[in-house]
Amino acid sequence: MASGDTLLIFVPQSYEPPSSNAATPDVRNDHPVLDFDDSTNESAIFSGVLPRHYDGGGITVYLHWAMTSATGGDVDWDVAFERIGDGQQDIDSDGFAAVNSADDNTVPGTCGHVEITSVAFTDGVDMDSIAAGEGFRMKVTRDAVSDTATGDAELRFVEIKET
Amino acid sequence: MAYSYNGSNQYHGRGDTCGLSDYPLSVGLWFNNPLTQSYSYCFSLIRTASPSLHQFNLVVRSSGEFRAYSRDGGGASFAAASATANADTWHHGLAVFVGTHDRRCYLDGGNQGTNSTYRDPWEGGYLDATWLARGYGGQYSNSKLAWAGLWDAALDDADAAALGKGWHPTLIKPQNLVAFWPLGGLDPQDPKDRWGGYDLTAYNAPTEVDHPAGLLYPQGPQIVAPGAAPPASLVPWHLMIGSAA
Repeated sequence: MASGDTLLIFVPQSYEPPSSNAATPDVRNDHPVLDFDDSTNESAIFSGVLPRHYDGGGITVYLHWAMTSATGGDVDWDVAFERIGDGQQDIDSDGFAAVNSADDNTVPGTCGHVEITSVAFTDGVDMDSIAAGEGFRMKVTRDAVSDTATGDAELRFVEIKET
Repeated sequence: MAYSYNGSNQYHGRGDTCGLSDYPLSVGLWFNNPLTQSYSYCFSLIRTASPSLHQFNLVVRSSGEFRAYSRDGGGASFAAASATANADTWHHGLAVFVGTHDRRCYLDGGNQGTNSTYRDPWEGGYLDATWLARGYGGQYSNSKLAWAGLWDAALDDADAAALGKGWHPTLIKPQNLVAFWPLGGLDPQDPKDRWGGYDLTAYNAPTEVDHPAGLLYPQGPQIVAPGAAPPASLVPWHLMIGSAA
């Protein structure tokens, strides 16, 4: 597996809503999206198994998002990983590693255009030491308390790529 | 496929309330109704013993009005959605029973109607059955029904909107989803509960009909294989084995 190759792609229908402050499923012109509020920090969780062809490097998460109505301001995104692995995580509780952030992402000037924002993780504790073949969860959060854009941010795709 | 009921004796049911015994609760489903019955009972949590006064019901009227009913020994009160259903058209209906003084009704993800009259179907602990397409006083429904879900929580406006746009019930407050009866579609064509195990039994053979289109099912991640060869149809002919360069 070469660096730069895509490992996994998530769509809104892949999401697992957390028990509180969950992003809201929505549809925009037949596109399924997840709406993230502009005043409360809302999250979406995605689960997967890191493919066997993952080569042990860092990974980059690409968030594809648009705004419901805003054409100005910025959006802050946080991403965190939780290694479930083989005897690593008691799934009765959460064990997400510290978030990595992509802040001050300028909102597209045309409402409906999709912006792609990247959040990089180095191999090891930064991505909770997830190894090839291990299960994991990824939490995507809009840091709405800190950003400036008004209205919902709509998540359309998430790509995980080996950096 | 979904199920169609004849409005006279066909229904799905089970002899308990799916483990529920208190507020809040929410019931959502897709219905397609010809609007030919004065009262078409799509869903009920009901007391089967006489007098069968205590019930929660989702009802479509011949006017297209969609109602969330609470009935008890003192009478019946309902919230009605502010818009009406069209005949022979799939709609999403959601009833939210927050408490004795608070019931809400949504049609197609919005159009909320509310009612605050005191009614308590849970009083006395009488409720003992869950029915699809059957209700009060031996009345039934001539609806088509699909994707019925039951939650032990009060779904909110955003939840109603998502369901009305076709999102799968298991993606809406799954922590509070008690039962989900797909009634076909991409799921097997049967009245089994695919979430909580509260399977229903068919009475008098409801018939299979087409499921509503455009629903959003859960979907796992797409795993991208390394160096995967493109499909043969996309391989340039001159790179195919045995072809001339």
